Amino acid sequence: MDQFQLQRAYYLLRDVYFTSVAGYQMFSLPTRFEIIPSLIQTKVSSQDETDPVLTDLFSKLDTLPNWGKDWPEHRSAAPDQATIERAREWILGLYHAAKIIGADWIDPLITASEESEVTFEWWRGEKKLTVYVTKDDVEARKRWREGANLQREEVEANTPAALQTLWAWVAGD
Amino acid sequence: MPEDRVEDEEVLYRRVRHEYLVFIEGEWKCGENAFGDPDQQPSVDRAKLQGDSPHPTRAEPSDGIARLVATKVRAIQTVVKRRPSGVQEYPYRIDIKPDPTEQAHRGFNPAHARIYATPEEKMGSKAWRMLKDELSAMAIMELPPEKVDT
Repeated sequence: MDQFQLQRAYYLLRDVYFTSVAGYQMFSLPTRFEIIPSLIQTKVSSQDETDPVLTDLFSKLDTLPNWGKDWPEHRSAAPDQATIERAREWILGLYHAAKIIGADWIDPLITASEESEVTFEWWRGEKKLTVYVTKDDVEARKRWREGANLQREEVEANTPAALQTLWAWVAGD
Repeated sequence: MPEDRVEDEEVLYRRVRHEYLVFIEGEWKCGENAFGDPDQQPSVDRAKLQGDSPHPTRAEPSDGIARLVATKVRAIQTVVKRRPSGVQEYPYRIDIKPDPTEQAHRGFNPAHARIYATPEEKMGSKAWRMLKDELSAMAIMELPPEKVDT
């Protein structure tokens, strides 16, 4: 099956999924990913290249090698290229996950830590998601408020199903 | 001469570069790296030693100044030392110590202080991230950025 056929299969499945009340039960998300393997790849497709949201995200990531370079007080190394590349692949995967579940995208705050990680942060109401990317790993932590207390949970963020679950949490009410 | 101590009720100001800030849902949010520090001892200024004004803490118009209260910082209990297995060894105690010092943007700064954890040792990534997360969660924007050059 070539890329075009896979794309068509994806859109067909997506339409059925979002127009059917029983869609969620009929096509569990991992199953759909197995059907359309090319769509969970973390490489930039031609469609991605012209997507303004991704263009903006990638351009922000591209500034990170110079993070803090001109700040007199800054004493930490910027993220290296391997870390930035991993961050690019990860955010692309998350963006696709958001599209697949039909949830709105929210732009993250993108910063670098003094440990040379790339950090993504999202806020929505009392919820916050923080993701830490190094060249070797991606870690995520959810934070939310229950009464006066903050609750936190470290969560999986390395599989397509996990990304969809994560984004459903972030973007949900 | 009595030993200088940061009192519980003291207000602390943290300079935050605009790159660590985002305006969302009607308010400024501090990213947790706003509290980053290579020595794991984030700098703050003691409000009462600078006329209760956040302005001396600002180095550039694009900086935001976040406000913390010492008693809340000291109340942090979620920063813990863990073994590689995840088992908790001990909690870090979070405190603030006076640290008058020279600073590039304001010369000698008698209001300077540092937030630190005891035992004083290099914390693991998870503990350090937790401290930054706690500080950013309690930070209130006292002085928003005035002008951001893009």
